Amino acid sequence: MSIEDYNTLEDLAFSRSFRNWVRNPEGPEADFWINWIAHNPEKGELVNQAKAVIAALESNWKPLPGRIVDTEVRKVLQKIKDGRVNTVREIPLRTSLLNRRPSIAWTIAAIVAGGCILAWGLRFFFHFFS
Amino acid sequence: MTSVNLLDENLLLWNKFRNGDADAFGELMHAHYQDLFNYGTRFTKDTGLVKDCIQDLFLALWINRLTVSETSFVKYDLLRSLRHNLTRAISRSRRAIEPQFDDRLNSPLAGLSRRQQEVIYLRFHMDAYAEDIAGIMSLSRQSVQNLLHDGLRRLRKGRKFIFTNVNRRL
Repeated sequence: MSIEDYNTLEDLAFSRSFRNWVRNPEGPEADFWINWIAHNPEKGELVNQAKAVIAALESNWKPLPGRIVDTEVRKVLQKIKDGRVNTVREIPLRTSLLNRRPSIAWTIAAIVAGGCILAWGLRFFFHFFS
Repeated sequence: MTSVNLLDENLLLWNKFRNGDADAFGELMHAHYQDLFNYGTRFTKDTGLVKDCIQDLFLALWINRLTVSETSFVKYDLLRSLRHNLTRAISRSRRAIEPQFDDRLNSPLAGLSRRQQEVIYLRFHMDAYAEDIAGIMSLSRQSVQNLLHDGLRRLRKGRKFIFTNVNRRL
């Protein structure tokens, strides 16, 4: 991306180079960004906003401890080694029957059945009292 | 390491995996696990469910290694598949509640719509471009760009208080 292309908050906040510099102001990207800001003083507010957005979003990332990643990767490799790869579930469900959302088909069936019972009841009612 | 070398290494690793090299597959899993887990836990607090889905995803990838495409750009395909399986699992296990994306109160993304949160998350943390995000979320590229723009604007408005102090912290 050329210097002219950093015009919006998106351009800066999502720029890998800008983010590297924000994280490490003394790093290899420092010369470029110090120079860019010096040549674009009107974009000082934009730079501050992008820094704030980066700080906010980076606080949202919590890395998983390496030992947990190791354990999970080992589990997969062990299953492959043991030939247990055909036990793959398409969707692993952890739910009881009581918590499951009724399917649309069952909902429609219940409505139709309820309607039939109501119609039969009304017919019986009018037939009996007429 | 330059990006070209990294690309070559990824391609080499990918081809080794396709030839049935379990060690190369282990390296691939290590390379993608953090991203997949972090993304998955935005949809549910049930970390066991996320781990199960990731495990099944990798086992399915291993089973289908001979038919998967000859490319090293697997990350976004994995994210898309994980999203699909997780949202289906979650929507089946709850009563008419649409899966939420990052509903933690202290999240900087709180206050944004679910889709705005997700596109910003994918753009920022996964380095995904609008086209990649469109593929992951089954949206048009234009919709992704609109969500990114509006989401970032709302994020900026909602967090004006930090702008004044940011230079002291960074």
